[in-house]
Amino acid sequence: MPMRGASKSRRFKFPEETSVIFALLLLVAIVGSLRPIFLKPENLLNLAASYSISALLAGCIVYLLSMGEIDLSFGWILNLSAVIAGVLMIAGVPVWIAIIIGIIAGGVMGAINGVLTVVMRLPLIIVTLGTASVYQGVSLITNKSGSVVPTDEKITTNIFFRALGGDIETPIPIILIFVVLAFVVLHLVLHKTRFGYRILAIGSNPEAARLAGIPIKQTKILVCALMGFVSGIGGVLFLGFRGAVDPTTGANLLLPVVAAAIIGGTALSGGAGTVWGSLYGALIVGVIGVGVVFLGIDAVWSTLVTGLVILFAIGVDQIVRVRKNRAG
Amino acid sequence: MNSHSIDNVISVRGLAKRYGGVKALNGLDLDLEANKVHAIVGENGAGKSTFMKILSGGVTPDEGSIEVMGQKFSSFSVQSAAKLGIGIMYQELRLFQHRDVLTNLFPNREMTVGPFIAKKKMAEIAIPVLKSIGLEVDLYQKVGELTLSDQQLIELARVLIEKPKLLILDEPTSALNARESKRLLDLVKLLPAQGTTVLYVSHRLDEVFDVAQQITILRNGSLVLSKPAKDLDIPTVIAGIVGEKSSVSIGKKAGSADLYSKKEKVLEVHNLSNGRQILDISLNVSAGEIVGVAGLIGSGADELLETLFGARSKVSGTVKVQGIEKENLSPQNSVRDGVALIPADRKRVGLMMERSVSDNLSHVSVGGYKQGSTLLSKSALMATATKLVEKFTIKAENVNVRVGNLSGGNQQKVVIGKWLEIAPGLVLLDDPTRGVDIGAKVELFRLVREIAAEGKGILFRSTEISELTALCDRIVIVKDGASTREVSGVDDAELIRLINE
Repeated sequence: MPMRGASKSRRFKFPEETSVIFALLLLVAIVGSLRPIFLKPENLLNLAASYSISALLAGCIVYLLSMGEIDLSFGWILNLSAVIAGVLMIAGVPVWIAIIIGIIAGGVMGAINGVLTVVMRLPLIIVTLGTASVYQGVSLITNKSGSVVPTDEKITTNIFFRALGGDIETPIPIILIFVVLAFVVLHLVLHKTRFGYRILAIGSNPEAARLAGIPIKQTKILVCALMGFVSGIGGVLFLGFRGAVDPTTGANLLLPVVAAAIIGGTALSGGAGTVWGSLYGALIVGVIGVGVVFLGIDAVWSTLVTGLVILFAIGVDQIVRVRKNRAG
Repeated sequence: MNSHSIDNVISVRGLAKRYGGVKALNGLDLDLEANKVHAIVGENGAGKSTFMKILSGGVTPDEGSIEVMGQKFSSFSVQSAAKLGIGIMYQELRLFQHRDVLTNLFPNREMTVGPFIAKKKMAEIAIPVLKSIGLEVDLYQKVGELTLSDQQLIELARVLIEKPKLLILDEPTSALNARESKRLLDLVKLLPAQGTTVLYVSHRLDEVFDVAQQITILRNGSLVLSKPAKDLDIPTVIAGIVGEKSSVSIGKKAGSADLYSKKEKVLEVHNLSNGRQILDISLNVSAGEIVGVAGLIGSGADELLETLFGARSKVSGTVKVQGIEKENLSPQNSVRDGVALIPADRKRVGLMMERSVSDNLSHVSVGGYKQGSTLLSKSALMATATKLVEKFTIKAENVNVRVGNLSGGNQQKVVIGKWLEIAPGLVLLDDPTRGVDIGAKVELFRLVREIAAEGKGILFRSTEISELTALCDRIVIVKDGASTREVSGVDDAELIRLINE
């Protein structure tokens, strides 16, 4: 029977992120019921704020995953961008200019990843295995293997540091507001623009995308550059939030960020992705990390629990997918 | 000769298999006498490949029985087919390109000494087999470094090592040139003397008459005839393959080539070559005209349309679209020049199977074509998709259904529909009816006619002769990489003769 317009599809559907939101609320409820102090709004906001940078990166890694690629270097791009911005500030460059240069440096590093993957015709995971060490190495040379800490009062009293560092009292942490706005943009770009359509089309079937005339190389480079750019933003946010960059900053981001995207419902196989899901996924990772502390469990357990939750999330996801395919 | 030699290796009775509404095999009775080369011929969809797949255990028949050397079965598995001594050499190579020859000859049945691979033992078995087929290669060379024809022979050796009683060869020469084909055919002729019965499936009638002692013709899943080759000639076989056309009535439109000679040319190709399969092809397509490309597998016809679209690279020759010469052929440029390619393998290169009908219909207009706003409105895209779905009567509950859930014919309509959004001037149809049932085929042809009537030029490649003669104003015949002649208003038998001559 020929179809009768799109009216039928208009009936209410739960958003695809429903199960992640449910899991997040369940986790909060479990920890909260055992330790009611956990549920205090200030605590929850602090938790969200301290995981907001990895959430931001998760929102962007969704782009790469839905294109069927993965970037291993973003942690070091974040680190090097922050180091560059910090070193410039210490050298006397105005704070805002140093910030902009740091972010642009991140974008350039991402674009380098993209150009290399296109020119060498290698998967991004292989390319970034190498560039991750390169960016880390450049960072170590630049920071002389030490922390970069802008201490000059002219710098630390800049509104950027005061706003992010919590000197300015706001009901909701500023970094959180910024990251939520960034998520709105990331969501709209992926689902409402030609660029986003191309990303998903490439991830879904690269050969079909090529034959449909989609500029694959250009799109890949742009997405990589965007990932670098967002990592650069993450870097300067980190600098503002913590007031310092250590040589190890960003080293342990890979797991929580990719985990957030996967728990959020983005498949590694490409062709589909949910930006909002990755935000909830990042919060789940955060609740686990903070929750074990609240429950008085040794913090070393949080990594184990995060791993188990990832396995659980992808397991459930796979079961649902297999069921769906059978039904179809 | 003792009495054993006239026994049948295989006897099938009432063999039937249907796929959905299509009868692939319709009660086939057939005996294959031992120690002979048997050829099976027929159009695509005649039931050849289904028959082969049943014999090799890959497909379970719905009805009927199979007797293998006196043992009766209703069906069997791939494993038991191998145990019964039935070996099959597929059309596509299935070799491990990065592994050496010896490893490839014993796929998943390596010999071992304790936990170790017994290379010596394997080599002892492999060497005589390779010698018997005249293949001199280093056993430890990587298969990927060998020529295509040597690879084909290794594929053959791989089957022969198991000493099959029945060897099925599916278009074994499709990737080979004339000299290499002859080498293979000479080998095949020797096999019956070594106790191997051969079932040879090919479109190339000259080859069939060269190797086979017995020729069997299938049509629409039924047996037409099975006779010794010496009692047959090529015209008789062609007549048997084609039969009386009535089942697929797609309406004749023959001899209309003159009508278009004065119209504007949307495609002009001169001396196109890709240095491999395509050597010297020239042709042109006028606005509103449907031009067919006919040629055997391996003739260069398979690669022609993708090359014109820019999905494969060309080496020399000129391609003009709407009168403008195209220097850089690429899919991206083709889309912008209004050239559409509807590929044969829609699952692999045409569709995003797990995405919605609506998403797939936007593939070219949003993804490839640079026009309109960069911001997308979901409701506008869905409205466009809904319109296309209605125009093409695509059977889908709504535009949000996954394309993978549609039938083959409806999937192909989505592929065509996604291109029509950009109003192309030239449509390249590359064997678009593969895996599409007859009802959907008729609808697809109606659609192709409509597209041509809107003034678009159509280049139509098909492996089915009857489609070409029914649909095309003019047919370009491609042989050994070159366009040899153009014909108009020929019938099926004539066209089969022309591409085989």
